[in-house]
Amino acid sequence: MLLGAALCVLASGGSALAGGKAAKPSTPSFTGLWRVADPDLIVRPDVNATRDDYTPEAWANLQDYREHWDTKVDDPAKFCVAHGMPNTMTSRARDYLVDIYQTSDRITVLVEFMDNHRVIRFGDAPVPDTFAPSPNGWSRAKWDGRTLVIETEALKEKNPVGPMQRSDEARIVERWSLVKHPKFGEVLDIDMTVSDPKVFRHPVKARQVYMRAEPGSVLNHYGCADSLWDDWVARKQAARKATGTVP
Amino acid sequence: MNVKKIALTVLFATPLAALAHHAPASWDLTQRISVTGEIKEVQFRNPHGHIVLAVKGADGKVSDWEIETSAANLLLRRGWKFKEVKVGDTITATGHPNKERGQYLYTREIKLKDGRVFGDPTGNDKALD
Repeated sequence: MLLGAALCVLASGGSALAGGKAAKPSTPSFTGLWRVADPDLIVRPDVNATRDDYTPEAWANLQDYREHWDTKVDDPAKFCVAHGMPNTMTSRARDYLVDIYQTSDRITVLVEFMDNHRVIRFGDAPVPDTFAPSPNGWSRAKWDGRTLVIETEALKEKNPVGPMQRSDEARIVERWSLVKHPKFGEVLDIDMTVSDPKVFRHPVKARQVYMRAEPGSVLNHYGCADSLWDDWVARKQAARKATGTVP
Repeated sequence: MNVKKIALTVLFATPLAALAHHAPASWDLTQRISVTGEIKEVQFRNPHGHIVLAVKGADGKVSDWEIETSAANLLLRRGWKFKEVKVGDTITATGHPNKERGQYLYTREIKLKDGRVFGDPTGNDKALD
């Protein structure tokens, strides 16, 4: 009987009994370096949503972009503009790292691609008046058993020209859980529900699955804007050479 | 053509490498071709790097091929040694041809003269990154 009770405790996540009271169940730590497990597991609204999912205005924006802009060039990513949520968490690029630091009051997410970052605060504090809406918004989290539920709001509206739209009414609910995957080992499974009444007629889904990065992996600086500046300087120098203003 | 006009022509004719950030639709992912040549320029950086190869054609004439690479951060993680890819070296680049421009390749791997290959061991041709 005692052995059975102990096994039940272990199976429920390793929480301990103390002084006859059930202790608070332990919660997982997401701390560590992660990378995309498999691009085929990713779900992205900008890829998977169809006409029926978009509001008429958002669909018209998307069609205008596809038909009248050069999508191979006229893309904010090509100008080093990070798309922000939910795309911060749905990048398909393999081998970029995501570094997650979890402490008692917050989770900080450092995303190598585009040198992006998120701060997720535990608790239910409202968005402070001093917080400026941003591409990754204001995120607060609470536990639902061993699943972390993150709500994100105060997202900055995106310029509607581009492959991904987001309004200032967007709200995202993420559910983070650690799962054993037969191929990738322990994975961080992130299920997202995006509600954005100006863009989508109804909530749409997104998903990412991260696996642990190889031991010894290092998160590097990305420096996308550095490259833009270097190119600008090179063009100016070429122009100066052509006019003979460079010795 | 006055001086100002020349300056503007050069300014807008010079490719802006970061703006050439690859778009998957630009490359023929169904094909892989190889070109061998001498490195004239090489730059590894994010979001993408580039190599200019002087390639001798079947007619004996030498012309430039532009080779786009994946992001420096990703190549480092895949084992590329940037210091070992230098101007003057002869390499063979294998990758996807551009659909709109000739002599323009998105490289998946390069082979050095000593036989070593810097590539993308876990990659496939479904997507670019």
